[in-house]
Amino acid sequence: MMAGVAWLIAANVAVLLGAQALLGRFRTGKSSLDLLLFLLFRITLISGIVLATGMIGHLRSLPLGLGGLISSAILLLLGIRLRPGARTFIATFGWGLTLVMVIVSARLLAQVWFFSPHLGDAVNYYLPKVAEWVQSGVFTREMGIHPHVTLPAGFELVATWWVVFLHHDVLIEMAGVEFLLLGGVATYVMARNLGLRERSACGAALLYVMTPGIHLSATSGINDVAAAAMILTTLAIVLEQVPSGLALLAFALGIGIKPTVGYAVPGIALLYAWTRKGRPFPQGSPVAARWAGGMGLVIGGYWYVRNLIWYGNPFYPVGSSQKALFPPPQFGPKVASFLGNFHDLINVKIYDRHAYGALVDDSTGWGIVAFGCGLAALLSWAREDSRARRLAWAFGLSLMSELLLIIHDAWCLKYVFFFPAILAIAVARECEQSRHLIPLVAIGFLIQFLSTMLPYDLPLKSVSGLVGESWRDRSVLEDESGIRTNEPIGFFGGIEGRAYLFYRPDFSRRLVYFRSTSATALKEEMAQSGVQVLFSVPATEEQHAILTVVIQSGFLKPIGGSFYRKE
Amino acid sequence: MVEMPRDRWRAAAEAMVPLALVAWRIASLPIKDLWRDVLLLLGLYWILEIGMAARGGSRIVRTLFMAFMMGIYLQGQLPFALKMLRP
Repeated sequence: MMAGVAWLIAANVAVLLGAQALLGRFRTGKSSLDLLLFLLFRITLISGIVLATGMIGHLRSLPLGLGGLISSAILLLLGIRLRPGARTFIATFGWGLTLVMVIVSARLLAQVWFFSPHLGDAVNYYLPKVAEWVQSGVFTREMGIHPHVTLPAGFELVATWWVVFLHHDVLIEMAGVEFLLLGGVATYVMARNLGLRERSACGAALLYVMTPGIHLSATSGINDVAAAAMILTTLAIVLEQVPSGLALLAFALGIGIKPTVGYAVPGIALLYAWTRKGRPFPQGSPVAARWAGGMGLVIGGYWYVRNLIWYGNPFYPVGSSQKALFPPPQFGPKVASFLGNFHDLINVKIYDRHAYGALVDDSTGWGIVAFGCGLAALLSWAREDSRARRLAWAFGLSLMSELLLIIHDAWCLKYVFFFPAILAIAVARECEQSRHLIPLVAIGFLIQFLSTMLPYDLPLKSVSGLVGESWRDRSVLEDESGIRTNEPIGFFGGIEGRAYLFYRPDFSRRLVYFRSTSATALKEEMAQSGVQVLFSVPATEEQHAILTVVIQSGFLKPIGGSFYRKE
Repeated sequence: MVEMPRDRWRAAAEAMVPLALVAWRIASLPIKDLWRDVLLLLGLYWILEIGMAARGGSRIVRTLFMAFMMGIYLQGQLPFALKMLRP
């Protein structure tokens, strides 16, 4: 384990130095924009490294750590240095805001440490592929049984980065925190661009980061905060009028995280059209920016090319005619979806009459400050300032475009997690104008802080249990029905069976997924694989019939829950 | 005929949007729900803003409006938040 920690540190230092070296080619002279680009380059490097090593079969602690160590040495010899400036930070933002940032960061780190992957979407289809990759040290065709495992996995690259060195998932939620930070900094950059003072812009970033749905989503193992952060980063870069290659980098990486990033294009394009005639980029090479954009296309486009090769459809399973895809993904615009989504947004979901959680069930998760102050503040600001009006139009257009293209269901507003950023900026600007508002916003912020201690699907009792466990064994999986530790488990059906949890936190258990189409085939495949225990929750009538036949034949014996042991 | 200043024409034209919004919400919602409808309230706020702009605006009114909106939000969300923090 100590070697894993050392390699984790070495690789992260290398990526930080690498991001700093890249920044040297694009330095803008604006510290906030430079910080945004630095974080973007860091995520690009992590994604590229995991993608490359995963493809060539070196996705392991030693080669990654050793590579990090050698790269760090070379970069240091080349004179690349990191210069964190805590003193400058306090001087810029003051003790009060710095203290709030420290408290919020400390709680996020505690959530990363004590929370364990638990959310259905995460443990059913985001993370099983991470477990397969880490176990094998290479990208595997086997990624789990859920139909959505083939969706773009840009977020999972960063999640893999945080588990591959330790061969353990205790830090897996750091991936979401990286993107939450990126979204916060993008909000800060936009606020500064619109004329807010540094402390007000910092307030806007904090308000965005503390948006309840977004905050809880960041530590849940799903990719919606990452997608929102990439939209915000793209908008911030466009607003700052840096070479469009860098906007393409952020956008393409975003597309590789979630296709919904692409649904925000109308607003991004509108903002681009409005800002392109502005002043030229002060420093940096447009050619280098184009290369960076090309790199983004390679990393973000990988999943679509892979799906095209494997399934003949770059968007697979979206647009597929296969039945039993759960839930059926929407492909293309639908007026009915737009009307349903818009109706639910303004009549039901915006009031957040539901407990907070990462999936924002029947709600927006935008929180009391965005609802109470943000909407009115944005309206007032947009009336007074044409630049704010333009940005509001861009955000609004992207919001409407998303509502047209996303499925109409209870959870769909997690796809528009970028929108509260403009509300946060408007609130911060209003506080700058009117001191009366600051106590009100502070109370709202405190309420949001207190109400985002836990997501509703990980209640206090569960978290108490997790805190009481050793970090090595920390997992929400309770019932394994007498299965021996590390004994392989077969999966048949069970697309909502929380497969990831069975790998165990240290990825020590092997899972074998059976896609048998007959009882005989299931028996043969189980015998060939050597698996003695089967987990099965049939997803179709055919699977139910197969399982029934296998049990009646005496091949399998129920041992509790959805587990069966081979006789 | 008395001629209106250009700013007033502009304000009157702008006010058409929130007036339409308010009319739509009044026509489409039960009366008992109107007091807490976010779009209706924002429409009224917008009209108020247009009116106040001619008189130099009022930050206090804005703050009071926002406090009222926060109250509406809390009324719906607070029971869930308290339930979550209960052991």
